[in-house]
Amino acid sequence: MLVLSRKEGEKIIIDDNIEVTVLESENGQVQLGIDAPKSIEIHREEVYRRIEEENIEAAEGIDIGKLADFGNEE
Amino acid sequence: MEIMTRDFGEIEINEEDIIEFPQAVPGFPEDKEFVLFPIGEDSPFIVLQSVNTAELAFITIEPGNYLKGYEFEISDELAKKLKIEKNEDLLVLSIATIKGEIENMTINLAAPVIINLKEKLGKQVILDKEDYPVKYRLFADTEKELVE
Repeated sequence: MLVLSRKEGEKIIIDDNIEVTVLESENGQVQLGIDAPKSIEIHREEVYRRIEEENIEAAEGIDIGKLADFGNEE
Repeated sequence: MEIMTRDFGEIEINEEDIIEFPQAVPGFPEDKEFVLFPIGEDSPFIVLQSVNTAELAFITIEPGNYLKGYEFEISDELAKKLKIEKNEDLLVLSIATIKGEIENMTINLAAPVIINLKEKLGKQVILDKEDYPVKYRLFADTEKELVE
């Protein structure tokens, strides 16, 4: 992992077109400003991981026969 | 062509029915091709089966059939990625998580799968809307609370 130290107001540039600015840093909380093309998707890590976990859980095998019957009863 | 499925053995598919997920789905970065087929004639459940990994399949439903208030905006960027021309070409699916009894199944409203049926392009979209839960209980005994 690349580790860089930045002060408030300083930036890093990723791949020519993504700028991350440290806006504020206080009591262990860092506020970041991100300028990136709209095609770049940005998510808070925990939100993304939550979806990942749910997909993995959803992909576990199920009793398909039971599910097919369930649909027909409805 | 024939593919192996998780729950239905080998099935015959048309190559033109393959839906491409250029960005895959979170958790399964290797699988970018899926096919859709219903579980049965009258079943509301639709299988989203990976073409290349037999063991990877999702059970999905169309949330719009159950939840009237479920809506979100298609961003210009998403429209571009999925080559969306009109909303009628879109199929919106929620992935179901089923543990134990089927009645207890939950569906993921936070990250719907959006498919452009015309272009055969799909993507699971993470909605940054806090009011749509990752686990929404579909067949709750209690009065169904409509997400709005």
